[in-house]
Amino acid sequence: MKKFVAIVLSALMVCALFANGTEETASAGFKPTKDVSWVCTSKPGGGSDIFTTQIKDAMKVNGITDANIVTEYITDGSGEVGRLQVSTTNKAKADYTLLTFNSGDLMPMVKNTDNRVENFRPLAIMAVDKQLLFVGEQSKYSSWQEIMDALKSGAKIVIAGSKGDDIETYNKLIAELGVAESQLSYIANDATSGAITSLLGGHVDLCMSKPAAASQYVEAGKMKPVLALSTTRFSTESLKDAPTLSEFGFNNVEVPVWRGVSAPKAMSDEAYAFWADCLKKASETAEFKAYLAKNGLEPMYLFGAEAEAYMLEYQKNYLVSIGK
Amino acid sequence: MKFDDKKVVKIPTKVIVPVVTCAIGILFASIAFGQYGFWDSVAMKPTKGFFPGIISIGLIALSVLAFINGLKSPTAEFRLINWYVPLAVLLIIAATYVIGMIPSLLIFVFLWLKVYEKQSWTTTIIALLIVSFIVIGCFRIWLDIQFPIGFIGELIFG
Amino acid sequence: MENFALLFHGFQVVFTFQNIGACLLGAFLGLIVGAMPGIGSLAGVALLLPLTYKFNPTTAIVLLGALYYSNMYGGAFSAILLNIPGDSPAVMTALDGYPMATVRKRPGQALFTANLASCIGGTIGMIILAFLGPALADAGLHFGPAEMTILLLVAMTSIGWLVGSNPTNGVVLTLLGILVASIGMDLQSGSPRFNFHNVYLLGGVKFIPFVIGTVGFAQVMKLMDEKDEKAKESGITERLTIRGSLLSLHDVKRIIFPAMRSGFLGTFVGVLPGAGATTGAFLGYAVQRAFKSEEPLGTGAMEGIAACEAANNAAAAGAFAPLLALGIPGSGTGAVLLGGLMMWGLNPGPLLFQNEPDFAWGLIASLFLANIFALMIALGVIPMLLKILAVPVKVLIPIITVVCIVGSYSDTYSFYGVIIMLVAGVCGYLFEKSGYSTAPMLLSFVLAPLLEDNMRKAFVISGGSTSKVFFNSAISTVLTIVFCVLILTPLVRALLKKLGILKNKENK
Repeated sequence: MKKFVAIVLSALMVCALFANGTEETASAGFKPTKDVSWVCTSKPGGGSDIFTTQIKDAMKVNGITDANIVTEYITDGSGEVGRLQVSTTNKAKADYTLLTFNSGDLMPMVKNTDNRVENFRPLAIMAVDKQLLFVGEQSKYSSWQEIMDALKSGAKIVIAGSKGDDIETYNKLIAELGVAESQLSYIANDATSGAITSLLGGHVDLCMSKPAAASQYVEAGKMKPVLALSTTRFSTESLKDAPTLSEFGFNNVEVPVWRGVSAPKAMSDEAYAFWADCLKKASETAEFKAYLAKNGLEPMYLFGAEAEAYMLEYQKNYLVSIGK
Repeated sequence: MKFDDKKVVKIPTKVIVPVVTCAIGILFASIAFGQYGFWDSVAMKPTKGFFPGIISIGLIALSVLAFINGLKSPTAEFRLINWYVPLAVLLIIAATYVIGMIPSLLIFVFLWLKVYEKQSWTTTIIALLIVSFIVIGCFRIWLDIQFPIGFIGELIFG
Repeated sequence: MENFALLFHGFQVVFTFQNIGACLLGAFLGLIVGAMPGIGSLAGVALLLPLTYKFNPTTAIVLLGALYYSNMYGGAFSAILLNIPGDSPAVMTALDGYPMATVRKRPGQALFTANLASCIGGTIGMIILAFLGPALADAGLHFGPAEMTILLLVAMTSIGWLVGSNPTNGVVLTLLGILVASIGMDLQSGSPRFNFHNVYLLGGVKFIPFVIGTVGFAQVMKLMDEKDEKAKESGITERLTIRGSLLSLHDVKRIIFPAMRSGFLGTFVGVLPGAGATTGAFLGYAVQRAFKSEEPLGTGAMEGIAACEAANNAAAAGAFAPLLALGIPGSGTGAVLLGGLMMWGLNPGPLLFQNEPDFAWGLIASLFLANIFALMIALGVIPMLLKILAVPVKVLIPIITVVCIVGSYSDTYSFYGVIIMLVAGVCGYLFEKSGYSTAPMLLSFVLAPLLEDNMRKAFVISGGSTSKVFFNSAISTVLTIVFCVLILTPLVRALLKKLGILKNKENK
């Protein structure tokens, strides 16, 4: 009798398994059944980590997927080790691996290593940030016109900013203005706060910052925006007075700083579609919108093939600009 | 034990160390001056080779001085026994790839105390408990550090 | 007096059951996190940040502030007892702490000294923060790249005092430390250097595993020599009681002045942009050289422990001035706290004191509270900690080895940290055996990148002119003079001795 029950039970289980399997391929195509590892290539607490955590939370709270997603910090080699690892993840794990991938990750990656966007499957771009130039209380200049005049008369002007994206924007700016690096110089800081410190102390003339990092200082009257590095003026009340470069007869300089998510090259089409859809749903949640507002980020939603095309284009332009 | 691991071996490290640091100095200096340059005369600023370049020249000069000083009594005494510890770390790293980090560490503590040092069971178990508390309790559970689970762990849980 | 009323208000905010509980918890966790090598205050705060999202902002920051703050206490424990600095500021504490615990056989007093000095230094820092915070933060702004360059040069000259009996060897390792630190991504050019096409070296050599290796792991290798000696262990066990660990009145007198001096100095260093607690501890120790110590520094002198512990706690308090008054984090930990503030919907920056007085003053008041809690908890656990020293060396060896591995792994979340630790440890052991002391290397490793970065920024600002860097402002001119005096004094003294060597003998 016992034997019989066991046989029936196992037969039932096999049936159940099959039923489950056919259902999967028929409907969603992919459903996570294991722990998912979401790779973050910077330390806990940083901007990338907060972005990752917000999406994870938004997915969990709204029941977008019940998969257990674990953030894995692979920070070696300024993040290059983690990116290399994700790009070469094999088939078995590829469906369960995600990577936080920002413009600030793409640029050093293609500049300093042989890894390229082609080695990934970009899933989404979910937010974008742009920069402005600010003068401080102690600065000699109070408007972009004055700075243009000073540059013409041969004065030396120093901009402080962060690393990565900001340096790229600066390079585009001096190329557009046609001034020498020795005249309009740039000092890089680990974070924008370092640049703001230099500006407030009167050690530099200009500071490059994204809106969120500067908003408090603008409100307190310690900093004033003088140039929007964007194709259009900013819409925020405190920033809308900053002119764009085209108002001075130049081409606009804009280097969009985006935050996105990528997957290993080996991820299956089914899983790719599933994750792109999850991220899309996450971007529509109130939690994620609140995150954007709190951090002064603008929405920019590209998913699946659109995100891939955008990142490839971005990489192409960047490679041209660094002459590689 | 077949060999005497406390036997003193004299090695002239007091001259080897400055030779090595001098070589490092030469390597860094050649890269700094050869590839990175010293001063960017277009942008009027130091390059990334400026500071390391100066330092590596200083290192070469002082290494030579240290070498001359070291010649007076070039040898230092070494014993094999001290090298068991780094050897153990290498073995732990190798074992981690197979059975994972936490088991490797616990087995290491057990083998070291019970087999190598021939300590009592009580001492060994107390030590194991302390190590488990630090590694599993503090680092793994509380601080949520993901230690590698090794090849076998991947097969079971992956 | 307005600040006094505000501070009082801050205390009112903090004195709720919930906040005091949070403060106590933070102080306790901070001590543990600080004592564990590899998990510095940065990782500790970052890892606990998600747990605080559900609290209201004031309670959350009270918890994190207390954690950050008491972390500085905990770093001293492993430095003194095991010669493994739990965090970078504790490197200096190990210099005198470990000899005092082992050679002078006064481990309890060493821990007491560290904690008492931390409390004194921290209290001074907080009083200054409460009454002069915004003004200090503004003063700190005057230190631009040029001023910081010279300040760091002044700090670097004091490495000369650490090189010990063999100055040439000491300087060799100082320079080696600078070169090792220069490996990795170069901030100013945004490109890597000396990475030898290795993807791991792109991120540079990490400091925490490097310290755990050169100090801690090298120490374990050395301990193998004495594992079978019985005599040394019994010498310590006699003093393991709490009564045997108490400080005498004479001891307290020895501590109080170095601690106060370092308290003032440390607070100011903490305010400076990017300088941090390590530089504070370092300068505190260096300044102590200029004053009298009963025992020579580096051989287990209480004054040495007091000077650096007071300075690093004061610097931790001082670092809150720019963070709160201007929204500028002075360190990585500050940056994470700042990130936390933003997550709670607060806007850190020049308006914080006006817009959120409850929060800002509550935080300052909670630091006072955390200081007291940390001291009490620390004093309470000393007797337990001392038991570590009663453990026979042969049992301690595998345990410390495991702590070294786990600690360095946790810093990088990979074996890269363990490999750095192993290589640094073996090299450190070889260096010590060959008559090279490794302390100067660790300090140059921390300070040199700061120096280089500021120097290059200063050159960009000055357009390549050296004189504009050194005489940029009144501050830099004064610092340049101090620097020249520091450099020239030993040279002139040596020269005078050579010329007037007969005179010297006659006087004697």
